[in-house]
Amino acid sequence: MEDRLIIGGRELDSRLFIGTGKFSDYHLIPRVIKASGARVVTVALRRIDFDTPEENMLEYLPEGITLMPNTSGARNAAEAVRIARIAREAGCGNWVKIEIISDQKYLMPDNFETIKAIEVLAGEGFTVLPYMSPDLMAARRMVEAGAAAVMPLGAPIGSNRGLKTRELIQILISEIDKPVIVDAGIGRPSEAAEAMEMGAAAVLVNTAVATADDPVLMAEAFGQAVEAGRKAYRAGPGAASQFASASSPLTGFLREEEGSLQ
Amino acid sequence: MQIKVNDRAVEVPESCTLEQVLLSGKLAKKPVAIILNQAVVHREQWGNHKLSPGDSLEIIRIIGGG
Repeated sequence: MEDRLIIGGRELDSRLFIGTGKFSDYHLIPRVIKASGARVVTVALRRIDFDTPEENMLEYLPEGITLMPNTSGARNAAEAVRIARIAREAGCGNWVKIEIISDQKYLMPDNFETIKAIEVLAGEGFTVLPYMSPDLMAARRMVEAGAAAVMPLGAPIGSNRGLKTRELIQILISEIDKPVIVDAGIGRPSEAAEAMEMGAAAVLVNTAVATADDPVLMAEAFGQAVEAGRKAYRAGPGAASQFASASSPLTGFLREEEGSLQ
Repeated sequence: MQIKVNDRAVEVPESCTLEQVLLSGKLAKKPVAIILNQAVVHREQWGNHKLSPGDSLEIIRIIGGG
């Protein structure tokens, strides 16, 4: 059976998206991407700092991946739109992760401003993937505004705390027709697998990989977890039960019919 | 004449183009974006867009991000 993930008209071979922030060394990035199998990679935009020599991060990205610049630093829709346009002009293509944050403690995304930014950018031909708080009504408005997917947070950015918003994400998966990609908060491969078992279309991971003792090995583990979780979702897990149900027949060997000792 | 590049005052020759500013910083071929007085300038225009005194440039690059 075919199991294809198509976003913005592009078929993606992997359901793991990788962020490139927080790595101690850009040289790790191509190895992390390769080990993870990811085909979508997020980047950010900043002013050039003329006081410190800077490497060109793009030189470390392999051919054939889809760049997804984020709008980090934007505090409202207008700023996000501006950053997205600049990213396209800088050669990042037409995918954009909208990230609008004005809360500095929990870095919670502003769903209201995000909806406004989607309306503008989708109208300009961008493939728009909004980072969002998992709220069904907001997700619906984002899809109506032209979002190609929605990306609810599992826990605050960079917290490695896992799927704290599990029930709310489950509702999005059930009710939203576009891909639901769990972005932010996933700290371990088991949590990525859990998101995929729930029916998430993909997960986006950055901090969990970048802050691991061995980022390349962790990237590989995430790639396997996402694949395993997706397969489990497709396989259809059996129902949970409060009581035991023997895996082996209880009759037909030492005793016939009844289960008590003679 | 004086212009601003990323909020810093910089002295450049009269009629200097955007591309010449980038070349002086070894940035001409890098994947960067240029914002001149709040408006993005398309890459094709870098070679013939002449700067005026007091112009404010922002030069943006791509970095790692999540």
